[in-house]
This record gives sequence, structure tokens and C-alpha cells, in this order.
Amino acid sequence: MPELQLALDQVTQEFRVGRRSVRAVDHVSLTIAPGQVICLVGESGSGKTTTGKIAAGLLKPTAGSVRFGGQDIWQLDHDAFRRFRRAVQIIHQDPYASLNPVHTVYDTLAAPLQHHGLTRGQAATLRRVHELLTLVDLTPPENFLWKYPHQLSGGQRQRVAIARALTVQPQFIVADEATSMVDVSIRVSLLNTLRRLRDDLGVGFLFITHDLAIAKYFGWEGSIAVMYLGRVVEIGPTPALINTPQHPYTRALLAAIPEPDPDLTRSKQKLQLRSLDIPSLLNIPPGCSFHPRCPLFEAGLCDTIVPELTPLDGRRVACHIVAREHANGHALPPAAAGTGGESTALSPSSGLNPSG
Amino acid sequence: MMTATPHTQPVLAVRDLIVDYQTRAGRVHAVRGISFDLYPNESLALIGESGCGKSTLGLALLRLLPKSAETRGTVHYRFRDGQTTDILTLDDDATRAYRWKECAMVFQGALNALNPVLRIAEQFWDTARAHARLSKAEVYDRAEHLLRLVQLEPGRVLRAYPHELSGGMRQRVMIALSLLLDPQVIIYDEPTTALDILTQRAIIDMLRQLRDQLGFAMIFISHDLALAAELADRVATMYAGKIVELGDVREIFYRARHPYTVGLLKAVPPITGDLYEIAAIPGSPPGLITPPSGCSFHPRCPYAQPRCSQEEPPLYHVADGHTSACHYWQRVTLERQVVEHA
Amino acid sequence: MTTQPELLAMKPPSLGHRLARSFRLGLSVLWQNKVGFLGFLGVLFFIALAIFGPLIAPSSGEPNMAQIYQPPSWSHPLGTDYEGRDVLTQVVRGGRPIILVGALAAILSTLIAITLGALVAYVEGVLDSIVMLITDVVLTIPQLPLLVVLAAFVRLNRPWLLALILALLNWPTLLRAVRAQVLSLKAREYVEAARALDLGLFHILFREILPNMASYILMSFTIGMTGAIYGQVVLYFLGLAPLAGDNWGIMLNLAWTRGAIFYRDSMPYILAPVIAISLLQLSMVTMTRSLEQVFNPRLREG
Repeated sequence: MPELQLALDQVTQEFRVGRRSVRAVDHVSLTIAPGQVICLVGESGSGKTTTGKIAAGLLKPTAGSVRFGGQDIWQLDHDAFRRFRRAVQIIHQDPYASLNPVHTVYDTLAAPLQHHGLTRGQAATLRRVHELLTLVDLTPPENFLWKYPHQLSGGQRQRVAIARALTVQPQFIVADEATSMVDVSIRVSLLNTLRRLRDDLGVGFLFITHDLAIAKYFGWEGSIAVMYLGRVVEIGPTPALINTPQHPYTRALLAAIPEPDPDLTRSKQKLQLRSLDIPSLLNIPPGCSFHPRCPLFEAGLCDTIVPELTPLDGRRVACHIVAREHANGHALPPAAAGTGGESTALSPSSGLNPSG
Repeated sequence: MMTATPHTQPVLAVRDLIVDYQTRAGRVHAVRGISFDLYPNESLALIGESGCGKSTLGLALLRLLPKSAETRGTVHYRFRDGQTTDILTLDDDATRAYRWKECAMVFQGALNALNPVLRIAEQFWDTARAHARLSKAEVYDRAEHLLRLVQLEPGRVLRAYPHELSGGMRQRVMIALSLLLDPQVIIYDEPTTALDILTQRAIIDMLRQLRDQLGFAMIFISHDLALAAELADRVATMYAGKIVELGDVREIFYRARHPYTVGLLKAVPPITGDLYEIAAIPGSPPGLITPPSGCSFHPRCPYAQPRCSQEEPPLYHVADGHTSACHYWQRVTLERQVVEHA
Repeated sequence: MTTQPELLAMKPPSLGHRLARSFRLGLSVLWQNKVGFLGFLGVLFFIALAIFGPLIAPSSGEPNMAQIYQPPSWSHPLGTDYEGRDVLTQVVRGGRPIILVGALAAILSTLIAITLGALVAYVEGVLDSIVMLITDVVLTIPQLPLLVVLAAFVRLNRPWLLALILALLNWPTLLRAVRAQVLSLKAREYVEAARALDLGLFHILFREILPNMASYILMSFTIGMTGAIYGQVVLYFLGLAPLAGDNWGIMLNLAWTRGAIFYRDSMPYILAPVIAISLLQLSMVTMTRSLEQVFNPRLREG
């Protein structure tokens, strides 16, 4: 149903830092349908968290529009905006900061229920809180109702945060690194809980993470958008991106991730970057912002013109060189997992710049 | 990369190490009887999740635990001249000479462990002065050499303050600092946590290169299995204050024989290749004030039998150099379900 | 699975239950910090004095010029004043007005600081700029001359007027502190979640942010009260407040103006109110400092 989509259209966010301005998000466009997953992947400074807050309506973009069901949310009247607010919820990264320390689990969950009149009376509220806790696998619920956050583990707190998001029956959830600060063994069960919400309740997800492996599993049937310094550099179906990445940054990322498999990881072909320096957002390189580090760099082109997202090979890539090669019929061979031997067809650089 | 031969003596021999803390809530048994050997030039990974005692273990090996901690057991260290001593019995002066000169540590959150009001050059000088007698010229020479080894420009870095350097650069400085007095053993506590993917990759490659070039022994403590796959010669998985499995890196990753290790492996599949089903380990890690009876993993273990809650398993011999603390290790297998092929 | 009747039988802890829980927690923390506990006992003592003092000692007696400035004795443990009246009686009676006005002033200034401070911190923008400007201006005005000028214009014969004047001097500092704290709490994730859940300004301020500032509010109250008490002492000492009835401030004024400082025997008359006031302030401050541990778990030992 196109009606219920959440869409970001050329969204830009600039922040003032002293007298300069920083562009944290630069012309980002995304569309999420109910029940669908889009993983937003990037390193620190990529703008993914800011994009998430914009999608949730917590931040008003300096340019571009956020559309819910086709309507620009910042043009809505008061009541309609409040309805939108409830339709998109957010789950934060830090389980130790996401819950109010002076509220019990019951307080935290009852507040939105009662405030919006979703339940009438204490009995009904109690029943619904009970249901929600069961939904997020905090069972038996009685053990958790009257506890304070400091009496719960990190994983349990995240589940309460998820339950809280579910109180208002949202259509979309922005999960901002929701599993990053949780132990590995707990992470998986949290992901399974989120998966169930997606499948059973039809909730759409904007899943923000720096961990491509998690993005792969949670978003396998959805898409991944890779962000670098505020721009989307590659976006497409997850299997395509993970198995045949096209943008040099995506390839570098995938090649750089250590694998939990000694033979695989030690023979994995790494992508040499031209420089180890990470540009600051105050000084974004002109043209393609990845050009100082990109092994495909071509002077005159990559440092002057910003590449557009071009559809090719089932996804969209923002790279002049890749687009040109593809138009000429030369497909770049798959990178990463090889069994040693020559480096990939991407022309090797002059080695690591020791000033990193 | 040297592996242990019958003729090599371990540079660190830990036997029955126990560390307890007294807190208001009770007595915390952070480390509950750990034994292992570390051979020269080898890299040992200590893998475990939060609360398993791995950081405490690292601090204990450097005698950096607070006064409220009680340490028992022995940690025999072998000097370059062949003499051995139990470092837990050393006095203050001897401990200071041992620390950093024989055994150094790069702490968790090393990014913020540098003194913000001192230039990097001064930090090198401070560290050297605290543990050895070297002249300023000697220290700065060595600092320059080490900074080059970690791929930083000495001229630029030595003059800088910590906040002028990026996170990755500060991590490299910490690593260079750890090499300052040419120790035989370096302990890294979570060396790549909080670093971006590309920065992390650079640090991993650099650590590997350093070890090949300088030949020190390395213990690294992490929750990240993939890091062990990259850098370790041997891997030990820790749970609730004990080592539950220990072995050569390939043995552990391909032929794991402890349910917890298998659980961890199943929770962290590779990024390249097939899409595997990921499996959670039910329950949560135990508190260390009253750990579960018998095998501390039994409440969460899919192979658990009545014996497991009564009898604590010793480290059984599985294969050469491979031990597992599980009564039923023979039944344990690592099998991943493929959901979709790449 | 819980059955319906079992579920209905569960009730969230009532407000009374929760207050009792906080109270017990507070007591246990105080007990652990011995100095704080002493402070707490001191505060209890002075509250009791304020309530029961004038009841126990209904009158300070008639002037008896034969007994001016008597040294301490069995019938007059703290001696007598310039009119021959018992000092101890006056001390016992003299706490109530001071404490009452102090508490009233503290409540007023804390209320202003919290409501205004929290509001401007949350809403920011123009309102914030205006209020901060006013605050800074008031802050820079010298307190004592301001007090004197105000007292000259307003007849301070009613306690609440006195409290009002004193509150007007205290609120700027408190407001700044509250505002800073709210600004910091505003950025917390659970506040952002409350915004996403559309819980409204009132809920966010009063049910999410302010309950996390309990220690600030308590500190604000204590500072307000100690400030108000000193303010009263100054006013009475300078004769700017009406010298009717018995209270510690008046005792100080009379001790000064009636020459008690010239007699060694009349030392108790001067010292008694001074010590009483100091002890009161000290009790409040030590108690509050240890109570901070209740609200800030990181300050707790162990």
C-alpha cells in the first residue's frame, strides 16, 4: 500500500558549529514500506543517526521533505502531526540511558497508554502492559512490572524500550544501533524479537547500524543503504550489496570486516585505500567526498563533480567510475572473499599513506 | 610465528589464579581458578562477554587490581635470562620494574587514557621515567622509531596533544607506548572496540605486522570472536570467571567442543558467503557473587544433564593442546544451518 | 499464565507506598553517613523547637530591672537580657518566626526557580533569552543594599511579606542551576523517547525531567532556606524589620543596641542566638549533603 510509506526526499541537515556549518545529512532519499526493512549502514560521522531522527520526526531537516502516506509531515496540522509522531517510534542504542531511572517498567509502559487514552482504567492498562511484555519476551511479566531500570540487565532494558515503542502501535520503528551495546549472546535474541515484530505486526524498520553482519541478517529480505559523510553512496537489495558490492567504499568496508573464521579471514583480500585520514565533517572534500581515499580516483572528475546515484546492476551507486565502466559494458569482478592470489581488478594504490 | 615445541619454556605460566572482590552486595568471585601458559612470540586470545572476568584477569597479570581485591595462585614469569619468578610475590619496586619493562598493557578505552594536558612526547618520557632509567635522548629516539612502526609521523605526533589526534591515531600511540621498554608480553584489553571498521582493520593489520617484526608475546582480551580469528594462535573462551575451552585457533573455530564456544560461534556468522541461521544463547550471564552450582553454564546449556548441576567439570583433554570443560564434550558439535547460499 | 482475577488483584504500588520506600531509603543512607545523620537529628530538633517552643515557654516573662544581665545560674541557665528576662526562654521561643519565614521564603524561591527554570530550559528561544537577561540583571545587583532599599519601602510587619522579599533575592541563582540541569536532562534518550511518544510538555517536564532532579530541588530548598535565614538576621540586626516579639534576630539586634557586648556576664545573650542559628544552618547543610547520595547512586560508597 503506497499510502502508508515513510519517505525521505532529498533530506538535508545542517548544523551550526561556531561560525561554520556542518552538513551532517546531504540530500538523502529513502522509502520504507510497512513490514519492510531498510538498513542504514555507515561509520561514525556518516550521518546515519541524524537521518534516523529526521525520519522519526524528532529533527526538522534544513531542506528536503519527510513524507508519511504521501504528505509532508512538517506541513501537517497539529493533530495530524501528532498522529504521525505516534506512527514512527525510536529505539536507542544505550540501554542505560533509554529508560527513565525513576520510573518502574509499569510506569514507563502505562504512561503512553493512559496519556493517549489507549486503555481506560487501571485493569485494562495492566492487562495491556502484561501483553506487551509478553510480546517482547519479558516473561513472566509479573517479574518485571515493578522493577526499576537499574534492576534489569542491558538486554532486558532494550526489550522494555521496544515494548514502550509498541504501546502506540507504530507503523515504523527507527532502531538506532539498538543491539550494539548488548552482549553477543543476547544480541541475537533481541534481533529475533524485532524480526517477529516485523513479520507478525507488519512494522517497518529503519535499522541503523555500523555492523554489516547484523545488517545482513536482519535486512536480508530488505535493502541496505551505505552512507559516507552524509551521503548515500550505494543503496539496494541486501543480497546484492553484500555479495556483489559496487561502490569502492562498500567494497572496502566488506573487505575490512574480520570474519569469525581463521582461514577465511586471513586470506581475505583487503582493499587498499589511498589514505588512512578520515575527513572531518567540517572539511568535506569537494566533488565525491570519498575521493581522497578511493583507489579508483581520477583527478579532474572525482574531486570536482558530486556523483549522482545511478541505477545499475539491480541497485543504485554514486560513483563516476563505476557508472562509466558499467555503461561501457565492463562489470567489475566481485571483490573480497578469495583464497589469496592477486588483488582485485580495482587498480592498487601506491600503498598506505603513513600519515594516518 | 613460533608455536610451542617441547623445548620452549612458557614466558608466563599462570596456575590456579583466583581473584575476589569484597563489595557491599557480597563477595564477587571475578576469577575462579584459571591456569594457562603463554609461550614466547605467541598470541593468545581471551574471549568472553561482559562479566566473565577477562578484564580482571588482565589487570591481575600486571598487578593493577585495587587494594580491595584478593589474589591467590601463582603467575610465573620468565625473564630473558631464563630466571623465573612469581610476580604475585614481588615487592613494590620489583613490581614497578616488571610493569611495562617485562609486561605492558594497553587498556580498554585507551583512546581516553592519555593525559590530555601533556604532549605525546612528554607521555613517552613520563612512562619511561616511571619504570626504567633511560636518558631523554634515548627515550625520544625510541619513541620516534616506535611511532614509525605504528605508521605515524613522529614529527607531527610527538608535538601534538591527545585531542589533536583522531581515535585511531591515539590507539596507535598507546600501542607504541606499550612497546617503549621492549617488553616480552603485551596485554591488549579490547584493542579495537569503539573504532570504526576501516580504522579497526588498520589496527589489526598493524598488530599482526608488529608481532612479526618484534616477536613479543601477546594476550588480547575481547568479546569479538572475529578478532581472535584474525590475530590469535591460540584461543581461550571464558565464562563466569573460568576458562571453559582452550586450544589452537583452528581447533576452536572448526572443532569447538564446549557448548558456550559453540553458542558464541553460532551467534556470529561470517559476513561473506552463505546466509546462516543465527542462534541465541538463552538466559543471561550469571552474577559472580553466587555462580550456579556445578558447571556454571548449565542453566543455559542445550546439552545439560543432571551431572552438570552437581559436578564442576575440569578441563578435559580433547586433542593435542585442546581442552574443554564439559562433561559431555564428545556430544558437542558445531553445525550451522544454511538459510540461503550466497 | 496469570489468570484474569490474579491479574486484577495486582496493583501498582500506590504513591504512599512509594513515598514510604523513598523515606526508608533516605533513612538508611543517612544512617550510613554518621555526620549526615546527626544533621538530620538536628533538623528534627529545630523543627520540633519551631512547633513546640512557644507552647512550652508561653511567655518570656515580665521585665525585672533588678536582674539585668545576670550570669548563667540555676534559675536562668543562659542568664538574663537587658530587661532581666530569661534568655533561655527567648531562645526556645525565638526559633519559630525565623524558621517559618525561612521555610516560606525557600518554598517561594524554589517554586519560581523550578517552574520558570524548567520551562525556559525546555522551550528555549526568545523566552529563554528574556528570562536569562532579567536573571542576570538581578544577580548583579548587590544583595545587601537591595535588601535595605526594599525594606525601606515595604512595611515588613507580616511574615509572608518578609518571606517574599527574601525569596526575590534568592531565585536567580537557583533558576540558573535548575535551567542548566534541565538543559542537560533534555538531551537524554528517555526524554527523546517521550517526545516521540507525544507525551506532551507538561508530562515531559513534570514526570520525566523534574523527578530526576530531586537532589537539585532539595539543594535549592536548602540554599534558599539558609540564605533566607541569614537575610532575616541582617534585616533584624540593622533594625529594618519590626522589633516586636521574640526571635533570634531581634535578640541579636537588642544585644547590640542595648550594650550587651560591654558586659562579660551577658555573653550568653549574644552567643545564644548566634549558636542557635549556626547549628540550624549546619544541620540542614550536612543532612542535605548526605541525602544527595540517595538521589545520585554514584556518590554512594561501595
